[in-house]
Amino acid sequence: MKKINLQEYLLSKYGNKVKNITKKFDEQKVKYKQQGKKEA
Amino acid sequence: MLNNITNFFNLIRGRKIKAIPSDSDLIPLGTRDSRYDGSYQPTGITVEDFVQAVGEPSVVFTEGVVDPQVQATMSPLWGTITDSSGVVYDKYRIQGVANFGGSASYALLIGVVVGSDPLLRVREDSVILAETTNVYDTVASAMARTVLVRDLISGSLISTISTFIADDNTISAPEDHWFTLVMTAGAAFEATVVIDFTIAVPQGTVIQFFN
Repeated sequence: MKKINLQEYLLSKYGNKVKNITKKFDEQKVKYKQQGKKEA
Repeated sequence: MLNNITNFFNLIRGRKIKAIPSDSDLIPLGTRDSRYDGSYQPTGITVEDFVQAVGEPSVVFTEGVVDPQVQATMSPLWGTITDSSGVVYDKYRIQGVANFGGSASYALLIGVVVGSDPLLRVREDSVILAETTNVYDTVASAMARTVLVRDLISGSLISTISTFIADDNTISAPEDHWFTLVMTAGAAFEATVVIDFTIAVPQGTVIQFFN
């Protein structure tokens, strides 16, 4: 059985909410980087 | 044969002692079974399956669809952790490699572990490599708040401001843990990160890894 990737998994579980999840992750990425700079 | 298992004379004389086993070689086992004399039934296991269970199994990394600079996989580990309240945890190892350069700040998705809200980080063995610097061929640093990386312009070694792997389960659902490699420095740098950490989830929980 072919292993599905993350995008395929998210689409099968969350359907049309995937866009919101991707957006949330992109926002979190910015926060992670900001957190890293704050530690300077 | 099993009744005479410690008599190696014929094997030694016949030059049948192997230094490197094949995956399909068999190891004899005794499986607990009260219907047998001595309460053990003779069984066997292939070397491939035995190594998978107790040793360092072979792994195949998959390139991430979100951040293709990272390739990774997850595999189950032998042994459990039991806390003082009696909860038993199964262990899983996440391994991979990330190659990147061109920026002073990175947040790269390693992968998402799905299926369990409770999740422990029980071991961190990731290593950051600063390669082909103007001083050393390679400097290796264990995952820490600051590590040495290669300044992209000068080739000098510089310290990162922070380095960590985030575990975030606020993005899609509490049972979805998004693991992200985060590194920040004061100048553009490049590095290779050999990702290797171990997580644990309550026994009986079925988890999967997607990247």
